[in-house]
Amino acid sequence: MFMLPALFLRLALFLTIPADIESIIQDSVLFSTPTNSYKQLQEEFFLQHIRHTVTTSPLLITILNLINNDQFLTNLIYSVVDISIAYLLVSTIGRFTKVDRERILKLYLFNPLVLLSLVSKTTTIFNNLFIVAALNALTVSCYCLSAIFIATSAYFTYYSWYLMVPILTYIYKETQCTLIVIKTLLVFAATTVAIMLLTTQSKEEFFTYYRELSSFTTITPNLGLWWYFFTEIFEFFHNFFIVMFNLYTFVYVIPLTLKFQGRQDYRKGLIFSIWVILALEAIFKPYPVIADHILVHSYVPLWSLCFHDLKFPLLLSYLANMVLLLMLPTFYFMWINLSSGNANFFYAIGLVFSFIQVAVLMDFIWAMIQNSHRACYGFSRKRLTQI
Amino acid sequence: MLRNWGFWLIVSQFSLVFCNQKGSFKERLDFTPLPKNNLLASFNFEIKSDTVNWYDTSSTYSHYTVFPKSLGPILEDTKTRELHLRFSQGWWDSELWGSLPQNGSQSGGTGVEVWAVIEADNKTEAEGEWIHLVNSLSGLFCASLNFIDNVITTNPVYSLQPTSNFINELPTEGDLFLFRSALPREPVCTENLTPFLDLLPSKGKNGLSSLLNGHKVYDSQWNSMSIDVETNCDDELNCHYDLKQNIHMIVNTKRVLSKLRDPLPVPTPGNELRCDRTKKHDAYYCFPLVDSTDIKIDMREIFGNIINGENTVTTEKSRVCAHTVPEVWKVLAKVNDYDSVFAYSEVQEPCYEISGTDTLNIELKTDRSDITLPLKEPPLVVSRSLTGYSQDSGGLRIDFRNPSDSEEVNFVYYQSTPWYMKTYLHTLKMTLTNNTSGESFVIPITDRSIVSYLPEFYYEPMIDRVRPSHLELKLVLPPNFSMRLAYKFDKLMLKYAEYPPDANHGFEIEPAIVTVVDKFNKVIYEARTTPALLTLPTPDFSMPYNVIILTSTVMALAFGGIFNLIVKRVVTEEQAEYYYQQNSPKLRLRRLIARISAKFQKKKAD
Amino acid sequence: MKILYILLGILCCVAASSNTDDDQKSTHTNNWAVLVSSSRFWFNYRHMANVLSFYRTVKRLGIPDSQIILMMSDDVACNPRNAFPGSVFNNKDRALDLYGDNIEVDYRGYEVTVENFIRLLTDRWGPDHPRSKRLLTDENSNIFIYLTGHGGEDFLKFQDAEEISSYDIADAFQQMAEKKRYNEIFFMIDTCQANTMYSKFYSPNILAVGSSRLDESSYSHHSDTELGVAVIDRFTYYNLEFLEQIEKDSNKTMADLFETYTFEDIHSHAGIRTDLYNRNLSKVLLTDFFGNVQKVEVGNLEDDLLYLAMTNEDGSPKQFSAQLSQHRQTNVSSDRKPRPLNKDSSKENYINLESTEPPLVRKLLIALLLVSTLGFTYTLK
Repeated sequence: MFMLPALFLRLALFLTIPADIESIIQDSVLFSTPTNSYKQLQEEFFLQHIRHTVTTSPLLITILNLINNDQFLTNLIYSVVDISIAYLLVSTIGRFTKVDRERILKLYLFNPLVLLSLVSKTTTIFNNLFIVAALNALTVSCYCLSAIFIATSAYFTYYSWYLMVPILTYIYKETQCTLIVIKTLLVFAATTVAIMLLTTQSKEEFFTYYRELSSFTTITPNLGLWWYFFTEIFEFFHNFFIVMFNLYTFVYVIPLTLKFQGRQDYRKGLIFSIWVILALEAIFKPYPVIADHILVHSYVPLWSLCFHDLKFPLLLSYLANMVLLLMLPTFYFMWINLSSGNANFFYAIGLVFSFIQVAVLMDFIWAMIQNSHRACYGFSRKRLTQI
Repeated sequence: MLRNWGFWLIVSQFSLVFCNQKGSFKERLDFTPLPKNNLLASFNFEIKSDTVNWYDTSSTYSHYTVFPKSLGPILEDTKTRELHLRFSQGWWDSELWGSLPQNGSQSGGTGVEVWAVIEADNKTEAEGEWIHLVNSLSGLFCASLNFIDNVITTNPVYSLQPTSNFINELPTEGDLFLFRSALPREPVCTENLTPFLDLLPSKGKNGLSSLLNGHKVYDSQWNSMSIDVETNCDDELNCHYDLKQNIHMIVNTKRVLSKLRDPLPVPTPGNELRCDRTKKHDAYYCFPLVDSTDIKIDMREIFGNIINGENTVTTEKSRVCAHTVPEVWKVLAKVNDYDSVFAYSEVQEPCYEISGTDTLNIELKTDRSDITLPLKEPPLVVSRSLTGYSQDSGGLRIDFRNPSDSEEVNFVYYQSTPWYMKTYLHTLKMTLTNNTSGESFVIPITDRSIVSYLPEFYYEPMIDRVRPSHLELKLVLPPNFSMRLAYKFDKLMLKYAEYPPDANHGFEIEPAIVTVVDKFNKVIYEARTTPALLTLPTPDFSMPYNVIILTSTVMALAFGGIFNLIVKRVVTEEQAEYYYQQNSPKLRLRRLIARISAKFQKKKAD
Repeated sequence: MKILYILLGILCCVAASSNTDDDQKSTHTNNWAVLVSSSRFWFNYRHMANVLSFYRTVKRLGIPDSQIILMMSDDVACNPRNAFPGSVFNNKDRALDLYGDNIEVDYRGYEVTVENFIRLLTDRWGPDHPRSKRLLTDENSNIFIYLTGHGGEDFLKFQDAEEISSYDIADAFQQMAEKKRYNEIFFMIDTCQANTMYSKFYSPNILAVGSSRLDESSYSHHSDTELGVAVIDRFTYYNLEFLEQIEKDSNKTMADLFETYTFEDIHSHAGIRTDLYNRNLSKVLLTDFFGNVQKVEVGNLEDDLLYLAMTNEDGSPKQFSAQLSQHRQTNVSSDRKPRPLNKDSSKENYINLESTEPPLVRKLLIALLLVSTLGFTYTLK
């Protein structure tokens, strides 16, 4: 019921926003990086016939070709994608909890941060769509569809294939049938290869993009931890740390899956591990943007059952996040435009921002562990601890 | 091809015997007075080598009569068929000085610029030879040409096309590759002039080259030093190198004369001030007039030297020419410093020949230095500037103006920008303005209608740390119109060690090249823009340890925290307390003692 | 068998160490100079002037441009701030233009890096490196190495961005020694705490001098107010003052040069390190390092081979014949105030012109340490 007004709001926003403000948002360090910016997409669309161009998203360029790069249609696509994300989110969350759907919808559809992120027109929104869709497909037992969505998402950021580990576990737990798991895996592989073949002329071209992404050759300031680290790291250790940083997120995937698949309600447990992996990716990926964090935090209502186990009240965490999100662009502006600050200030705030995300995430994990324990050993008000 | 090659071999040996050509050397100096008491001095040295044949491997020796011995082997080693080097300083003010000398074909952009045609079997081999060539040249010319690598090298497609007839008309064994690179930051100084003079057979000791010295050349308003080697063939067998060395410089004569009086600029004394008599003037008020037009200057003042006798190796007499308005300019030649007038010229282009060991001094004299030969207007005026103020993004704006009222200008705009300028070409917008009416309209590059002004372009986007972006636009500018191109770019950060020691100075962006062509695609004018100074975001250079430690700490905290949660067993607090009580260090120690004492007692019992 | 080898080795050593009078002659056949200014920016004009002064001196004394490696970290001659384009002066009278009409700078601007300097010394280059930028020395080469810039204890800054440490130079010299890339090295450095830079040397036949000892600054000599910068450093200035007097055929020796170093002139304690150097300083001609191969009093020789043959027999001038002197040169004295040259052998093996007795505090500390150690051992008992 909110869909239509939300769609109109989005289209109106695109139409009315002054070009200056739009370009400020599109260039903002919070919303865009060289790998996902709309500017980059347009540049690749423009240069698509020039040889040796590294394209980050041939799929989107194909879409842009279809609609002939029409401004209105592009805006429409972005708006529809955003609303689809909201719809899929709510239907996934609604399947697990009895939270008020309308509230979740309102929270997403009229969230100023979501709207700003939409205006930035980054390609991250498509990645988010596929991940949300994959999770929704999983919960309604469309396993193949889920695998296809993950493969498509992995095409935007290769980290997404990590999600296949908990998803396959989920499928196995649901069906208790190895064949279906293998089938899903094959569908995933086939989709990956198909996309690769469809969108690129050569194998090299396909891998160039991933190599560039994973070797972090383009250094620009962003929310994450990579940029300053790899600016400052001694050349001798550079490659070693590139490998370490790339492996870092993967290290969590299997342990998290194993930990939460043992929960009685394994569905929720595995969705939780997927969520934690997504959150870790958002914090520790090379080019994180706000849209990545939006995706993670949109799922928070799903864990309403463990809210009372949180050490930090949610209000406090979000207040901290708000303050940091205001400080980040301020310090960036002071460094880049005013030259009254330097890189350290922006880096420090980014570091604190990442740390707060980690702290909140750990809080959620602990709450979930307690919840699982209580689900197993009966609900009691006894305080839990770990040994 | 191979058969052709064999034929070459055989015939070329004959050619070595029968058609060997002797090298030759020519030199010439031109003076052109320009408005505002400026003077253009152009040195021109031409060296023609003996017949060379690189395909003929049977002859293991080669002659270098007048052709520089230091350059010849480098060219042959790297299979360079054409080489162009430019060392320039300053900015050519075309509004004041008109079009560039020799239509810009011999002037470079600020810094050092080099381009060469290399013959090789494939691109990789050619790239290797190119690197070898620039390294050798860096040793020869005392310039940091060894900094040239693939990251700043481009292969121009429309601009800087080779002019040798060897390349254009005759078959070659391998493929030909054109490489071009520039070092806009490179200072040009005496150490570059020294090897330039060493290339000449006269080594700067006599002839016209004896006039050249660093103090005067680099004290000029603008100077450009060029070295061009072409391979030209009379027929398939008689090829030779044509080496042209030029120095063009603009000297402000008033400045030179005042510097001779006092090497440091001092305020003009009150009694020497030229006040505007039409306005109020007394001891306190003076509206200064422009410099006086009365001028008398000779070579000794301009170059600190006079021509020291004839060059012994020239095949033609060395000539010194002046291009003036004979009605007002008197050109006086003094041989062996005799005060007596040797020649007064009333012709427009008086030329003097140096003969024997006589010294020659040329004096230019006029009381109306504002009357000079009419300036030749350049066919196109161009200026380039950076826009934007932030350190993470910016824009580039290029303005062209067609000064002609009747003819449209066809030209190529060449620009190579470093990889850390992430160009967004789709943001390129062309603004065309009518010079008289001021009407203007904007065409974005994505618009098809741009084709009538931009019929063709070549673009190679940058790749991080691999190659620069290379843009060549074929443009058409209608008469009496101005064109503005503007596009945006992002600035990328470099790694710690990639920043130069003075990172906050900024990064010079090499000058762009504008080549004006006529209807037959023949180059009629060439000009360069000024370099641009780009500031990049810089990290704090004192931070590496802090950043590595702090970032790693956050990552380790996440790792430790999460794995701690995952791995440990969950119990209630009572259970935990019980467990800890059971496993408290005190109890453990007691248990251990008990066990040991039990053992001892057992032993005792035994 | 092993013992035999050892005996043989000892025998060789004995044979090698039996110095004769001839050791006091230089056996080199060619001279090279490596002149490095390591500071960037206009306000470090004096470092460029320092290095150019030595460039001019060695060129005047006969080392050809092809055997001088000049490293200039910044362009001052054609710097827009230079009121005298194409000229560099080392004195405010501006009588002598160091840049002249003929100069070859081998490494300039950003090329002057620690890496390039070490590569130059050890001659480790890529295949494309031009010959003119290499130090093509052999076991018969005498090399004069002059460094100037901003430094500190055991380091010298390059380009205001990186440092070379005394260990790096020492190791590079050792590598040169192992590769037989020199006969003798004369190392001169003008920077703050310069003497620490040569303290780590351990390779043979190196004579080293520095402008100032640990915790001492090296000062500039004077400024040119028109240029707006200091034009030369004190240590270099007084070295040049002496070197200006000598000609290609001069018989002045190193000892003569070192005698002129006084605290009053230099405002710091110049140091000389001779323990790696076998010849008597009063027998070492300045032209052994600053000039090209010595003047030979045998006809008009132009052929190098013939020249070599002659020098082996009797080519060297009479002044070269010297008495056997095993002990190191110990009595450099200034005209004004004769004082012994003390060798601070306890810590660093270089000689300082000022007597360097351990300060009282250090003595007290050592005593305290001894007493406390004794006391501690006593209480343990």
